[in-house]
Amino acid sequence: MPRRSHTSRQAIKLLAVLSERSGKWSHGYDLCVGTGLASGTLYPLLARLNDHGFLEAKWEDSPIDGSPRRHLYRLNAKGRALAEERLDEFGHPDPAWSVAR
Amino acid sequence: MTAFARAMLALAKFVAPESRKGWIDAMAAEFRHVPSGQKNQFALGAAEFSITAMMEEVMFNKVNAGSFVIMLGSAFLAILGISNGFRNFAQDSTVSVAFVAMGLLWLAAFVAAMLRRWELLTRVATGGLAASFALGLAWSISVPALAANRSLFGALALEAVFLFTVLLATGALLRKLALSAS
Repeated sequence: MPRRSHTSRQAIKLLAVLSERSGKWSHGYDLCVGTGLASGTLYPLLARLNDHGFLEAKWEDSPIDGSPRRHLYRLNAKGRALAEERLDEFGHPDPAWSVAR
Repeated sequence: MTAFARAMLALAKFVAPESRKGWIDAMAAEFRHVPSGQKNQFALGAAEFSITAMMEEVMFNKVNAGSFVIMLGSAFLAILGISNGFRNFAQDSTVSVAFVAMGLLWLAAFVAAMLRRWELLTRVATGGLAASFALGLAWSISVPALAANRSLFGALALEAVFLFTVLLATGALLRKLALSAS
């Protein structure tokens, strides 16, 4: 039986944060802060989500303040469906979310 | 940027496999926006990501090479066992049964390696090891059925214990590598 992907606690946290930002682009560091994950954990998860076709990634068009361009991420429709499925199955990592829902 | 962070980013860029270079570039770009107190940790994460990705690629290649070697060796031993078994059938059916049984176990190992079912491969190897020990035990207590070819059975048991131990260790290693690469 093949192993199911994106079921680790860290992956669920990331899916939860990305799905909360429904459709909005996020920077990598913002996601580190939002999920509480270290960059060495977050980026491999983003890369895997992207490999499996759940994530959209692009370079920032033109930063307003003239600072260097950043990479942006958001879930696509398939990714949002995955997030919903995983959060229903494993629960939201933040218990307050379930109450507020 | 501290010397440590610079070294970590340089290491990450140097080590990253081709498939992850874009991600390391993204991390290097993001690094400039990370607050100074977090920069070292962020850069360390880039190096960790890069080294892990490189290791995964190496492991994947090792799994491929490992399964090929097991398939080749198992096919050879399966053919050898089964053909020896049929060749000896007229002279000594006990020898024949022992050879065919070993040949079939190696055939199962071949199929497991071909399908990359490492769990199954380790089970086959454990079964083969148990059978080899049983044969060795029968040989050591001089079971009458083995009397006609006692030295042959002794050699067969010893060789099978060695080969199935190697198969078990290799199968377990490949299973671990395949799991960590998935």
